[in-house]
Amino acid sequence: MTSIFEYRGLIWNFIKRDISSKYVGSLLGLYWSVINPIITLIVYIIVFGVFLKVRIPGSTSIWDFALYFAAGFLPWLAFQDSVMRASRSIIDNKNYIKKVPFPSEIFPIYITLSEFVNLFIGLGIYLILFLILKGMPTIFILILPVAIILQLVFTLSLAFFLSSGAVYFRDIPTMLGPLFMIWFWATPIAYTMNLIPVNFQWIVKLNPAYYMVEIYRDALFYGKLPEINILVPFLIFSVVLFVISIWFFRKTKTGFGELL
Amino acid sequence: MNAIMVNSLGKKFKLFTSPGGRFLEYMSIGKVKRHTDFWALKDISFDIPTGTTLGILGQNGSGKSTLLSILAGVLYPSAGSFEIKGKVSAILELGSGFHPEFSGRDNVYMYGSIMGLSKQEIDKRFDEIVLFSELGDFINQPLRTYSSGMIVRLAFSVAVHVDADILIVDEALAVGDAIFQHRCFRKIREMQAAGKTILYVGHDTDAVRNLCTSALLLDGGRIIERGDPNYVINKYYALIADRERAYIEGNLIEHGDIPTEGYETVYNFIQNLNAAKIVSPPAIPVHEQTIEVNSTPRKVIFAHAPSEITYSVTIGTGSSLAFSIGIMPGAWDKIPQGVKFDIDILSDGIAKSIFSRVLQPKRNIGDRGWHNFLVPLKPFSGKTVSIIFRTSGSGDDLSYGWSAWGWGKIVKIEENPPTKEIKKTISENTLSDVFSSGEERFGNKRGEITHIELMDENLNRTNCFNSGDIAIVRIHFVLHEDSLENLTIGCTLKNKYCDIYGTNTKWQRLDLRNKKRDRHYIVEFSQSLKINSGTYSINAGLVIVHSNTEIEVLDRRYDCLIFRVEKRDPMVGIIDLESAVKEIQI
Repeated sequence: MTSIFEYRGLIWNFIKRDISSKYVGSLLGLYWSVINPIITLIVYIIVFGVFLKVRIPGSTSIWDFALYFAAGFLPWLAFQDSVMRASRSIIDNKNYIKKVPFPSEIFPIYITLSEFVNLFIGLGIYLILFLILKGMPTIFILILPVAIILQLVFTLSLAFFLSSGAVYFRDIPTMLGPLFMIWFWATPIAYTMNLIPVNFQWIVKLNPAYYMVEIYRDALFYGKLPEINILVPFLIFSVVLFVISIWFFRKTKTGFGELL
Repeated sequence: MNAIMVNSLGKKFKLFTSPGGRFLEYMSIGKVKRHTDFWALKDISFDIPTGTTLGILGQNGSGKSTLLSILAGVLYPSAGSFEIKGKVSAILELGSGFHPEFSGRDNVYMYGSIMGLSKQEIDKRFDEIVLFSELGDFINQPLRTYSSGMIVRLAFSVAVHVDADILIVDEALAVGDAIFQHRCFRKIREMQAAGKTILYVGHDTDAVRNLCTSALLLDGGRIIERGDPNYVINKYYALIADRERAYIEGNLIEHGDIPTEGYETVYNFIQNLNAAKIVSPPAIPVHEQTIEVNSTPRKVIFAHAPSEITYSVTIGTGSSLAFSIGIMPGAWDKIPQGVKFDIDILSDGIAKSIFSRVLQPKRNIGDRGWHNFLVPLKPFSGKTVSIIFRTSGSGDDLSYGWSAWGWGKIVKIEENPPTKEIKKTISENTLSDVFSSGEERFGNKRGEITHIELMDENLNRTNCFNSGDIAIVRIHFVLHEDSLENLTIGCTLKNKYCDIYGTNTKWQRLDLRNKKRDRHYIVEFSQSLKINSGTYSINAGLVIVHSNTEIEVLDRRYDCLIFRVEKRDPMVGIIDLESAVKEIQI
């Protein structure tokens, strides 16, 4: 990991290049990152809040549901986009990996970091909504950096696993689309935990994404400290997964040069 | 002190016939084997002392690029180890590591930061890089608008300005224009003077000769020569000449005749390959292919050893098995132990060997080329049998050992075979002595040039000379009629484009009268090769000059020998006129 740190200047250059190629002078780039999540948000809120009349426990306001949904959905969207793009990061950069000697860890890292711009855009949209509908957030908004860092560690772990795996199994990036759809619906984002039958709730608690969005919702929506049995398991899980993923990446990257 | 130390390095690639095979192997955790190993590099050891320049020569596929990729840290070795002291800057391929959508400036900064330079360090060198690359204002344009020459210029400029201790150059210099190449060489010399270590890889022998302090010759993933650049370059040319010869020989020689007249094809093994049961190595399946023998396309079945092809056939009366065996020229040097060809016939549950032969083309010149055989199948008349074609040998390394069954058929002799004699073209042993040929041959064959020898002044056979050496060409011939008058033998040296020099026995006033039929004669042409470096060939002719305008060609052989000339002192053109140059004092 120390050698990666030495390449921080390079990572920063890659991120700048990636972002500028996506956003600078491109109306479309802006569309995807800002307008697209807003439209998706509105559609979900209309279907779930208006048609299906989903409400969060203890509230009858559709706006509470809208904010609850947005607090989970916007981080989820950034998470999903980062992982899906990062899974292609090694394959797409074969021109570098085959020709220039430097650590290939850089690719999943810079793609993930660059995609986190989407997270900040999403959080910006959320805070504007919150200010309009609820006013000032509570002091527990300061938990937000913790949530972001945990999400980053979790995303990077998956990025390492999948980007390297994709070199060996080229189908991985394609498979991710449907998998993420299933994962999204398996996570209480567009609905609430209490809508799940009690004897199925344990399944949700095996889902790391549930913990991730729960921490966000505490910081952004409920305005309270995340519960210990949410924060600690996710922290330990993410860190352990991260270490294993780096080990896995190191182990498998010896084959990149010849397989790409 | 050594800048690069390489210790019995090897690189193995796994070859899969299908992506499914690779998947299966991963999933089975080593239980299933679906690949064949291919060693692109084997047992490579060398040291490069700091401050020296090493040239690596080799033909395509000899492992040069694999070696460089390993040293540059892009590929990982499968065996052995290497150690590099210092920062490496590698120009591995045209424009690699550059992004087409970004400007030259952005790419310079990207490349610099890949090479571990900070922004300030690149700022300091930026003007110099642009100046050296001669890109001017183009530096701010996206890379996709650049010509390939501009990309090379930029890549080279950046690579030599990042303060690396070791510079790896892979053929990149070949692309720039002449002026830029000169500047590159000057820059490389500056770096040499500054004590940097340089590794130069390519086909350009002039560059190796001029730049390198020592050289390596790679072939088939192994180091076959090392030492002084001039010595290694000569070996490299000898290798090329050898391959050329082998290639041409392989497509020329045919031992024995193919039964054509008086035979009727009953069963064609090549056409029925789909019906056969095949056992073969996974990476090179038994397959049909067309090759050229004597400039005629022929179909063969490639059967890389170990392989087994089983046909089930009913054999009629009077049938014989006609087939050919051969080994592809490229493999000759690599399989000294040869390949064994067997044919067994399984009839009524009893297997009987009807043919067995080992070809060792490296050791035995007579084993080169294609060998036609005709085996009678009388004992099996009227029976349904399994015919098993089998190749075996040390087929563990699949870059070698291309054995094949040619034009196999079951043929039937007609009731009354026509009495016309199958014309025997040229006797076996003479042709296999022929050095090399993309030969063209014609004439009425009242007399024949049986073979031609090329020797140095000590009468050792060779096809490599230094400029100024004496070359001796011996033309062997026989006449099929007595007392042919005005017989003349000519010999011309030529290069790819034109004749260099030619003469004949008539002009040299050598009388060839009273030669008897079916006797063996030799005429020797001896000449001094005061010519430039290059590849040359020899035309030989046996003619009768009836008058100045009327020439009867008995046998004329064009390009029947190929040879190489090396010249140390540079010159332009073809003929060395040995100019004397001096200054006249006024």
